[in-house]
Amino acid sequence: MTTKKKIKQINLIPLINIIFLMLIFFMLAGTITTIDPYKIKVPESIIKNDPLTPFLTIVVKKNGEIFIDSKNRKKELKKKNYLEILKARKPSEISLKIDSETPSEYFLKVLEILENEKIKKVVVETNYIKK
Amino acid sequence: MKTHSFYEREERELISINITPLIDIVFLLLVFFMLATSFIQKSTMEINLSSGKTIDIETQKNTVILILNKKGLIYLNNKLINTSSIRNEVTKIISKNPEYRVLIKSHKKIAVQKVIKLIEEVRLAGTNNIKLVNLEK
Repeated sequence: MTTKKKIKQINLIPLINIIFLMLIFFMLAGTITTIDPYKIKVPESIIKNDPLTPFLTIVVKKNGEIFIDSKNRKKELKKKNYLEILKARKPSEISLKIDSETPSEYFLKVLEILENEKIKKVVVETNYIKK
Repeated sequence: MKTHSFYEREERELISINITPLIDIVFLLLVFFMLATSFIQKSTMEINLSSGKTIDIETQKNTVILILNKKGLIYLNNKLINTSSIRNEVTKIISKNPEYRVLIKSHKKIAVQKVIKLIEEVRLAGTNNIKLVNLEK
């Protein structure tokens, strides 16, 4: 009877070991990401630079819609609106989060506005890919 | 003898800890980290805004013109070129005169990814003096 009982029990220790290892791997190797409300696929790049924490982020969607920061999520900004925001906040550096499939005319238009507003530093967010 | 073996068995049973709640929590943590973490490495690319606002005839002499047309073809000073050879060609030109500016004319309908790729190649060629304009064709 006792031998039968012993056979029925499954040894869970190896399972726990593996789960712990997987947990440690995901905790150390990955970075916790926030959900992107805009669903933007940023361009890929082979140049690795440290990501900045800029004062202001401009989001440009595939269809050319422009948003400033994540606070104005549902509100598309017209040129007048974001010029007002830029003038009010006077950011020294701006991060540009642009979809990789956006036509370049929107990209250049935003750069031109930022240039006219005398923004010192503009960085484009990219995904680093190893070559 | 009988009583002795009974106590021994009872002692063994008491020592074993129920690890099921631990496994539950660890599973939950594992699922959380698997769903919430990302392995994509974020990077940034600085765009030089002050690399020449206007391009007049005089400065255009010292300018390397890269054209990215609607089909995605790249022309370096009106000569068709492969993406892989941009870096070498631009390096050759810049090594002669480091003050050369690179003017990238991209078709307005071309995807940003291709423009970024071109900027990247020019950067790797050794210059940050890049000006972006729309191709007016």
